[in-house]
Amino acid sequence: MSDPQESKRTALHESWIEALLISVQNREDHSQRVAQAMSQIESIDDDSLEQKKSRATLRRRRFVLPTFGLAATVVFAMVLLFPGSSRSATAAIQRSLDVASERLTRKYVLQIDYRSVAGKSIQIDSELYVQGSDRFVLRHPGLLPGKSLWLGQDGSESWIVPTMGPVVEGDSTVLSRFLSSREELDTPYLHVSTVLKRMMSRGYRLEVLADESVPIPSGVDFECQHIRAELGALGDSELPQTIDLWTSRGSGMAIRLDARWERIVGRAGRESVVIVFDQEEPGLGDEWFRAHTHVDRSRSATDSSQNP
Amino acid sequence: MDARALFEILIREHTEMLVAYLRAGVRDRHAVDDLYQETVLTAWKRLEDYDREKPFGPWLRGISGKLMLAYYRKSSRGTTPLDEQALEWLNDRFAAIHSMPGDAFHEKLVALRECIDTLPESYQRPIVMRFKEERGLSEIESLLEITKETLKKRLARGKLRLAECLDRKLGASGASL
Repeated sequence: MSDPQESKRTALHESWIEALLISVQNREDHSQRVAQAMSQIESIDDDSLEQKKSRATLRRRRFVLPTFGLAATVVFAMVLLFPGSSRSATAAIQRSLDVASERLTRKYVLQIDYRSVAGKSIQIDSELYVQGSDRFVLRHPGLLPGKSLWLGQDGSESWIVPTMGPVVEGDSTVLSRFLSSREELDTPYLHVSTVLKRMMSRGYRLEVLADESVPIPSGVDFECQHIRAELGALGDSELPQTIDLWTSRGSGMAIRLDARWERIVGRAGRESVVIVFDQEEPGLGDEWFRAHTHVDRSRSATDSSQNP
Repeated sequence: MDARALFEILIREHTEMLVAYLRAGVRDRHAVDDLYQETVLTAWKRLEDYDREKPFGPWLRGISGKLMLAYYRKSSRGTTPLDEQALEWLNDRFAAIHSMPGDAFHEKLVALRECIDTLPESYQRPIVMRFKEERGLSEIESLLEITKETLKKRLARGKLRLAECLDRKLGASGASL
């Protein structure tokens, strides 16, 4: 057996066993996967039903069409071209997801608004760097000047570089456990792809709203398509009530995402998560998404604050 | 109950197996998610082609196998780790696991648990720490006081020993690579 064949065999054996080792622990909840797939199927079925209805309408009206004249023809053409708001909205979100999956580094500003237990409304701005759908880095302002908390995911591992103490690395539960202990960061919506996938999930009603011009922090305006996802009456109260997406008309890139929760008056918790595109970061490669890159950065920040 | 609801039940029953199958063929997590969605969607669109006399799992794996091959054809990577022969090998292993006792897919993996128990300590500890205790590589390195290279070698060798042991237990001698 030649070497390439041997290494191919070894790689397959390894990935097979690795897949089974993950399964044998039975820690995964696949319900989100299934729900997303069924939601896509539902949306396709609904669209084909709408298309059938549109075609049936056209057949019924064919004989009276001349009496309506040009205006009516335009209306019929619109029905055929845009058979459903839901379909266009799904297509726009899917396009944004495809763009978000590209292996390009983009910087966003992440704003989290939350109401503290004391009833105070607090807004915290963080820097969010994303690359594809499985890598991100969040730089969160620390409590002490000059110190930042870094957390992220490098495609295979999640990590946290706290302002003090050891670096924490592990699977995604490491992050969720850490985030749930920080009221100002307690949100799973720390990645553009996560929010976009949530919009497509079951329980949300999609709607295309009027196009808008959206400014970004650098002062540039983007001509955007505006899609709104609204949670149905039976939706999980932990999910955002509405998610608004403004996606670039030209590139399909997500320019702004607003996720808003319906809060009970007087109760603490997050009110909104807003993600706004800032700029492309072609200079930040794979290393940027690994913990050790930010360990040094964190340490140097600590040193400079100690020795002003 | 309508067709869609029945299909959802079948998909729920087979998702654990399907995700493991996709992971065995494609290592990129994002690609696994995408291929899972594509497999389910394709299965729904082609449901009329499904022979009800035959089990659903292999039919689903047939769809996802073709999608994995298409994924590698489209990707710009020079080498393709998966081909028809490798898929056949994988299918044999998954079919053998399916024949094991247990309802859910993870329950059928008793043989793998037994194989882990028989691993030498130097391979067993890293495997358990990585996959059961879900520790990061650097944490395992420092806990075991070994270098990154040694850890990687032990994990790789441990996995290969498990593959050999599991193959023996499953008696999956059909396709070879």
